[in-house]
Amino acid sequence: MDFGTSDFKYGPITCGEDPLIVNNRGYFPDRKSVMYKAFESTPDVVVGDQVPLYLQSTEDLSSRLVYPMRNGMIEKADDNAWQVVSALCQYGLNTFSSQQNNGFKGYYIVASLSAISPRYMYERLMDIFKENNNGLIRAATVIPQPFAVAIGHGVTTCVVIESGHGNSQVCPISKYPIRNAQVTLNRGGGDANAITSEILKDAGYGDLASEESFVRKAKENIGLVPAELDVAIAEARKNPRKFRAKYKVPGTRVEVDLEKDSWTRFLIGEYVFNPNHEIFESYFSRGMPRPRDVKMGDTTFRGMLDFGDAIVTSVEKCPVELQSHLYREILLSGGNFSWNVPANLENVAVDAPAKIKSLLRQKGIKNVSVKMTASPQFSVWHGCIIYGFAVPENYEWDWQLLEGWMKFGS
Amino acid sequence: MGAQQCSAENPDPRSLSFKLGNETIRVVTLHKEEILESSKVLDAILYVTSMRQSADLLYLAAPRLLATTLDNQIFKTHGLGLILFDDRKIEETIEGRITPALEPKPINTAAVPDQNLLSEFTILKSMYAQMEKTIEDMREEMKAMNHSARTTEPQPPIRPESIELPRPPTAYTIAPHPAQGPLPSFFNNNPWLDVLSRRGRAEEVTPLAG
Repeated sequence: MDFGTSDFKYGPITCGEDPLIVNNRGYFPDRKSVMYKAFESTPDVVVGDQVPLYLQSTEDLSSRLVYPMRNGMIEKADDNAWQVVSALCQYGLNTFSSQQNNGFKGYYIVASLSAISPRYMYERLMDIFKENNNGLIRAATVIPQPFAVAIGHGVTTCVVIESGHGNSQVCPISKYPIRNAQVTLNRGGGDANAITSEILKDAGYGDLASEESFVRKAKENIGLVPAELDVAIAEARKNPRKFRAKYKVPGTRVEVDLEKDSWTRFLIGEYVFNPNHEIFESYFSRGMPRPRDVKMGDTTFRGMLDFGDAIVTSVEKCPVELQSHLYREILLSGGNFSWNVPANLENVAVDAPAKIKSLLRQKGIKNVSVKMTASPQFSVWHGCIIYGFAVPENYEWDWQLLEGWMKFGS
Repeated sequence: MGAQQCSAENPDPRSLSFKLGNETIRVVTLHKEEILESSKVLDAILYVTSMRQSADLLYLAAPRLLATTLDNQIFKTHGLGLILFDDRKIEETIEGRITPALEPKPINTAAVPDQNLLSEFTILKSMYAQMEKTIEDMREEMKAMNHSARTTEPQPPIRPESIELPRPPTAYTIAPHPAQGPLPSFFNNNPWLDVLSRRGRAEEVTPLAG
């Protein structure tokens, strides 16, 4: 079970290459509504493909529709979010309960959580498995998502960099996650949305800049990562037609065209990887929030650390003899690393692996290998399946290592 | 006192024979070069089972590399023991069980098929098919490793002014392979299968951080 920020991916090995997917969200029906009263079997929380059937256009969705893992973590006291997680577990198990063979003694469940999940999330998830057993669970375990990515990708010694909406994690792996070397950044796709919004406002699209879904689409279509920001800005200013940033929403007349300010498209990508360039100070001074260092539980989220420094800081917390091996395999995972490189801008714009290599080169680290995960959407689930298949059943759960099988069945 | 080898009572060159108290133990060994030929693997397994009348405990000793292709449950069902070995150690992975000697069946002219025999045959057939596919994968992997060992470039010199890393030798190929056999493609050539299968064993390397 992969509890992603947007999607819940689940299924046994018999699913083959791809898991089943539903939104990682739950809907709490209004108990006073006619819908709830008419259908007595309506559950307290609805998950899965049934959710759209319960949504009503006039109601306020923000309180009833809960996305439990938007930022990778659930607050300890957020009972609604935990209820959604429990309902999703049940939903996932019940999807396959009718397909049991004779002699079935229960599944070995491998769940995957964000690398920043504190211990109480592991405890709570194990409690949920215990409550939802019903003979369907033989044993369960929880592994961090970067660890699952490394397993799914088939690399035993590597650095996995996971970047999602709210934050990013740099996680060295050497047969085990090296937890005390993990570095977490308080920066993700949401920050790229923020700078895109400012750029749209400056270009005169203030009304569109306030619509989150439009801003995200604009970012995906016009945002670029520069090989070298100053060079890219100079080139784009010299030749605005070549670098023109234009995006039209399909099926509408809604369009943005940055025209002579198209050079700002490079700020969007640069901000994700390195927010320290002086050009961003003008945005901060005008009110755009500066990514700050934040401490949540035992984890410090670094705000302004660039990805190159983050990787070096993380790797240098590992034994010296391991460091060169880690630099040789850097895996990038998560939607925030999906950046296009238009064909005619290849010398100026780069993709995420090239940008990371460039940042590391500036720190004196050369000949590294940086790759995107082969299957960014499913690599966590692949890793969970392999883990469940290979780990011996007598490897018992250890609260120090946070690994092993917690047995539930007989 | 441990088991004593009794080679005088065992003229059979394919197996080793031991005495432990009143129990006779026979071990058939599969060598490294034999595991690439599925027919030899199957022959060894069938040979072990054929010795049930002559020993109390039966074992197959095989290279550890073969472990991922063998179904432990089948060995346990038939009371066969499994010993895995590599350059560092030999380990009894599945304990052999004493099974009652089979009495010769009376000749039945009605020729009713023995259901137990049929189901055992079906199991062996599916094991054989799975092993064949896995051995083919292993053959391809060894070819790829041999090829990359021949074509690996010499390492560049380390410059004092920057940290310049030598090029890595090819270990496991990461590029996905088309799905073969019953397992999804992301299982192919995945080194984690071996790493994770050793979890919890005494000789495993302690993790760097908890």
